[in-house]
Amino acid sequence: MLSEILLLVKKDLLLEWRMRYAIGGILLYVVATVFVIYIILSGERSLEMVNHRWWSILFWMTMIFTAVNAIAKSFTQENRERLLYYYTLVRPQSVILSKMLYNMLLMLLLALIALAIFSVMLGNPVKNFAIFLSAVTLGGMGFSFVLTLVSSIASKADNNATLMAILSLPVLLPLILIIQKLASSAFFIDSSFSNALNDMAVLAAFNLLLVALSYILFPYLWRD
Amino acid sequence: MIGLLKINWWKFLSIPLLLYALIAGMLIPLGPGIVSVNPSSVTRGATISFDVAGYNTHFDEDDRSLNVLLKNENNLICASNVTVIGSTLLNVEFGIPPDLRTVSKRDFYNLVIYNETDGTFFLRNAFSVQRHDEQEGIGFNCTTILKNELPKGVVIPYREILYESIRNLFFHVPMWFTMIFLMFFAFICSIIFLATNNEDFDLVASTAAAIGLFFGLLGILTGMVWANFTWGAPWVNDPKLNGAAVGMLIYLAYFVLRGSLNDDRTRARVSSVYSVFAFVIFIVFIFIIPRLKGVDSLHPGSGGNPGFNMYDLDNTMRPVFYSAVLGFIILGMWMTSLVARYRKLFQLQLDKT
Repeated sequence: MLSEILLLVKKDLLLEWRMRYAIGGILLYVVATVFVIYIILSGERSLEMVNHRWWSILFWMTMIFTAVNAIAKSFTQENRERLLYYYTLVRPQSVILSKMLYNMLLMLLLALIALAIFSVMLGNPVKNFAIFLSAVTLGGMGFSFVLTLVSSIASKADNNATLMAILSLPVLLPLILIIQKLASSAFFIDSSFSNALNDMAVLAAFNLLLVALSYILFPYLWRD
Repeated sequence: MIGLLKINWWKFLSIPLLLYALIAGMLIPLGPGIVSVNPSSVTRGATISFDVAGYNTHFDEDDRSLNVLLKNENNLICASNVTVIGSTLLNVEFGIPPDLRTVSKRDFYNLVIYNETDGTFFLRNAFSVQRHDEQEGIGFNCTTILKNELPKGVVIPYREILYESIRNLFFHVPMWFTMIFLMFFAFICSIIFLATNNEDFDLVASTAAAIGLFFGLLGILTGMVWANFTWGAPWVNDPKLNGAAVGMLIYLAYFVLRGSLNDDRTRARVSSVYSVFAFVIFIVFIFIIPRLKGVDSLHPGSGGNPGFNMYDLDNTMRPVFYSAVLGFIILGMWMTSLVARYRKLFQLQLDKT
């Protein structure tokens, strides 16, 4: 099973490499979004008013919508016949786990790039990087896990883009609440890593729950 | 499954339960309480006479046992003269001793009233005594035994802030219980559908989700009326309200998903998968996140607010509340079975033509 997963992830990476414009498009999406935020704020002469609260809101909004856009195509970029071919070759669990793994890597890459662009354009109010990076990592993992299953659900319907957003946002909310709680402690110099461990454990447990749910539920979607 | 729904003698249970909850919940009078005291402050050493407005009290019925006191941690002051004006209006006279022990510039007192019919009831921080000198004074205790008795007859407790709206407990809370119950039922039916591929289970699951959504809407409406009265705004930032909103969004999305899938079998399977996935996360959202450290709620039982079990849900309210919960859950199941059977019939007729 592990070899199947690795093979499928390799296939996804290769596919992404051959269609470089797709990942380039997502990267450009992040850059453009941050630039829009920057333009609006600088036009209002309010760039200096961006405190850590606003920064964090803008950052996570950018993350959420980038994630929805990046992962929406997980199951639609390959045609039905090819998916049918995979169905005869591998177990459905390997398909979903490999997609989740691949999307996790993609999400982490996007998160780091978004963080870099945010730091350059809007400054960086983060005081405790260890906490913030763990929030971004665990949160990005959670986003990619939720969105992978939802994208496989949405790919069965016609109006994919709208459906993707409305199906995933309510499901993402609990995740966002925990992340926000964890990440908000990263803006204060005196918050210690060990105090944030509790929230990290909750987040990690939630991620595990998402993996387990997808593992159990995906085979029912796959059978088509 | 549809066959199982035909066994429905249990639905008639909801009629007496709901009738009882409606009649008892609306007609049992509120217990005695004090609405206001006017004027409500005095300087130490003065004699003050003030009016006390009660609610559902029987001051005029029993003159002799009537006992009015001002009480805080240090002092107990008895009224020097009490005049009954009406069943809900008293005129009380207090002589405040000039050397009364005071802790701060402005000490608050609870006004405690006792009479035989109404038992003991009080208004917290009803009255304040001010001092203009720095002398602390000595403790003061008038000689009376403070009785602690419940009012005669069956009453719903009188609570400040809530007042008569406490009756909404019998309607608002059962709406939520019914919604969670129906959504849990839909979740179970979806799991059974995924396991057996029997499409009737999907039909029942989607019907239960729709009826659950309806009860959720009623829960939000009754909650908004109540919140507007007690908290001053129809919508406040509160984890329970957020949980409710997320639940509604999830099931609205579920119906959009169902609407956008055309093939019957695909629709049943895909929407069942989403319903199972979303319900588990919904449960995490409403039961686990509000219990995390640092999350506060205005609702009873969290954020320093007492739970209903502590004292709000007393022995009068408990049977009414439980029968309302049970009655509304059974009513919800009744509605689900009716709609599901109607839809099944509709489907059969469609297949025939």
